[in-house]
Amino acid sequence: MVVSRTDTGSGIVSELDRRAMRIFEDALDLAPDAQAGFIADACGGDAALREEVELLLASDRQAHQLSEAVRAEIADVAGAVMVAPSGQSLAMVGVKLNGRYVIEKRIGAGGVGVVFLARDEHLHQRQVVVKVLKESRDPWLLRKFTQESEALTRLDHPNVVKVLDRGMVEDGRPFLVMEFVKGETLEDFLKLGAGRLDIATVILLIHQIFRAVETVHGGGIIHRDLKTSNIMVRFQADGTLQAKLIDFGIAKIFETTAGNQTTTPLTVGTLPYMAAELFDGQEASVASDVYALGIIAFELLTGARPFVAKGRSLLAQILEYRNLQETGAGGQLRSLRPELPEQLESVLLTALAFHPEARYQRVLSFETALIAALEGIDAAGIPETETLTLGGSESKVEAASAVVPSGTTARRATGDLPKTAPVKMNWPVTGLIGILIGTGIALTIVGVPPRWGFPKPGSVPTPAPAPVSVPVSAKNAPALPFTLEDAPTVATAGQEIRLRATLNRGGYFYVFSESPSLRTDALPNYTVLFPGSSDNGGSSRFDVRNLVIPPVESGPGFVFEGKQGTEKLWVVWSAESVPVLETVRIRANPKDQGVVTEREQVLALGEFLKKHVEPDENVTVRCVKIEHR
Amino acid sequence: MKETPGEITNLLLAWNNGDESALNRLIPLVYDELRKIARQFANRQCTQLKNAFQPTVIVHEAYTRLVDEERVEWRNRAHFYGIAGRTIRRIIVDEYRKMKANKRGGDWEQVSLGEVDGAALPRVDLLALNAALEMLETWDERKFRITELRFFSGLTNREIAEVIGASEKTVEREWRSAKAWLYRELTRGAAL
Repeated sequence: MVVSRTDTGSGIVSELDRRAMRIFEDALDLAPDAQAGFIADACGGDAALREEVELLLASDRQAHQLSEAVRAEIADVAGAVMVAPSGQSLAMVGVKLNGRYVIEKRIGAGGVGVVFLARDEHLHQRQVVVKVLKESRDPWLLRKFTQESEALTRLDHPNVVKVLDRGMVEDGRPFLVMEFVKGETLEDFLKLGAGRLDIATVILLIHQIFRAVETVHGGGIIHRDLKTSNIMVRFQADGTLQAKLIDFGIAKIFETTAGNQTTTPLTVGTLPYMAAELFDGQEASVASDVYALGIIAFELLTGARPFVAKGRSLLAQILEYRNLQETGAGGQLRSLRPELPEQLESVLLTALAFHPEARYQRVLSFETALIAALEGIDAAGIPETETLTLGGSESKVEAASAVVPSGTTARRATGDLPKTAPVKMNWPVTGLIGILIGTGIALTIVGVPPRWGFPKPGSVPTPAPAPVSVPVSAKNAPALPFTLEDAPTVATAGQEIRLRATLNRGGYFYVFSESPSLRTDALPNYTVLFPGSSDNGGSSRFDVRNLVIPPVESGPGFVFEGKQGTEKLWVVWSAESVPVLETVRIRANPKDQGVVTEREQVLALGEFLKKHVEPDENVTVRCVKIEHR
Repeated sequence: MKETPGEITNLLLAWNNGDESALNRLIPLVYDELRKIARQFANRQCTQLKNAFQPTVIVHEAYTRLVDEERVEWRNRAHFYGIAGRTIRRIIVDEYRKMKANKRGGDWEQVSLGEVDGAALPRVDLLALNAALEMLETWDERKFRITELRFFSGLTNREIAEVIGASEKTVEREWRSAKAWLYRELTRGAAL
């Protein structure tokens, strides 16, 4: 219901309102604790007047919403009406958009748009997907569409469909051009698999899908329509399986520059994947996406869904799904596939819990628990697992060093690597997953010239001269996304070093070392020092927090060994996930103990660091030089 | 590209010199121009699509296109923004009214301010807002002008202070109480 003065027909400000307004305005000039007394005096015994003044004060506290809401509404009307003179037909086949995308056929309709297959005349007739807003006059649809394109443009993840271009159809409807993802939907893929995907494939798909969703959440978006038909899978040229999220039609944006105004007039989503609270009209949340992922994981493992409603009407189905969820999935997983570990069942029951707060609150924690269960590993008590235990034990340093080919300076040393094959980790999914669940990691840069390493075996680190603490860039610290403290500029052999950083803004955070070149190609030697594969749950995304690098619980700090010289530490913060950095980090970590070996990656990283010496809004790079004496 | 800077400028100057009829000729010109600009913005496939729809962008663009800066003093510029704000308000409210009438046979989703809880922003009925603004105009003209310039010209408090010839502090104070009053007015009958 809309209430306005036109409804009452008066259109005139009453005398009472005028008096209330005067008192309210005078009260605003007073200190908050003086207001109550002033208002009581000014109103005398007039209860109606006093109530009106109180209402104005309450309105004042809420009124900040007004500007935003009005702005959004005006933008809607302007966008939907001023630029869209008429609703033209959707007969789009043959139409050329942006002078290059020729529409070939309609392939479907998403939440807010009609989807076409098109060819890009500028790029070798490459196939692309064009999504055109269904209807241009509905502000809600227009807003959703703008939000979707914004959200997708901001995301950059190999498992999330890419936005290539956008524009406006002649009649004013906006469109998006997206990469055409070959392959089939996960829904079809599972039908072929008949519920018997091997565990390695399940892990692979879970990892890709979950990481994609985690990235989506990191970008401030709740997907809210996760389902197997919104995920494409295909085999890539190298034979590996790749999954991609393709539809963000109803993604709820809670961080869009267009505003925070997502009021949904309809219940949106797809019933079997909708958590119970959504039926009750609650806001979609990370937990409701976790629920949908729980259903997807269940399907990956069994080929079936835990809950199937048979009701004929939508309403009947909704009620049925709600009841089924409240009752719970019980032991269904293992009755469908008995060889699965019991722990897996409880992980899924957690994800599918009826109450959102009982579910995993982050996709990452769900993923960690799920994969640990799939591996038969207790996520809480891993340190004893032989191939997984990383960090700490100094006696293994030599083993790690021994296999380092001379000519590389930096290696990521891991404490308990098997001596016979220190680099090869025979944890089956290491390469696949890129996360190692270990107690910790210490870092070593081994080689001839200046190097980082563990404290000498069996010895207390040489008591070093007190670290020379230099407040790095204290001048403009608060404005920076991160600040570094106590970074010594000089270090002696054996002196343990830890960096202390404060992240003032959430984002992706890395520390790389750069050592003088020992490569035959004269490129610098980079090592990924942080985050290690066991730090921060294997993710480089951090919320606002204080960091000790390397974390104390993961073992000793950095130590210099060998020759003296200058070591550079590149500390990098990025608002968004940067593919170069992520590739470097993920590939370097498990495989080569942190050393960036591939020429292409060394070049890419070097270029990135150079390019971002001047910080901008999205990326800040700091170089800390430490003189090893 | 300045399209008709001469004409608009002449009318502004005439109006400023006391020719009231100039205003009546001015408004339709500005109206057409604003529509044209909005459409061109949208067609430009600009990367920041949504900016095209922000009054502040459109108004500033209109000003640089329409007004011959060398001939116009600040006072005229202030007038221009005032006219633009009023014109945009008129366009928006008219279109909004049409949309409401056409859409779904009046079954338009209507949620007044304050009825939507949670993190999402409430939606505002622009007709209710317009009615409240008209009330405000009869009662406190300065608050009304400030509000109109904020909402429909997208000017900042500082710019408004120059336009209406008041201190920035006054504008801030007036804007704050105008907002509270509007909020109160729009939520009348609904629980705060």
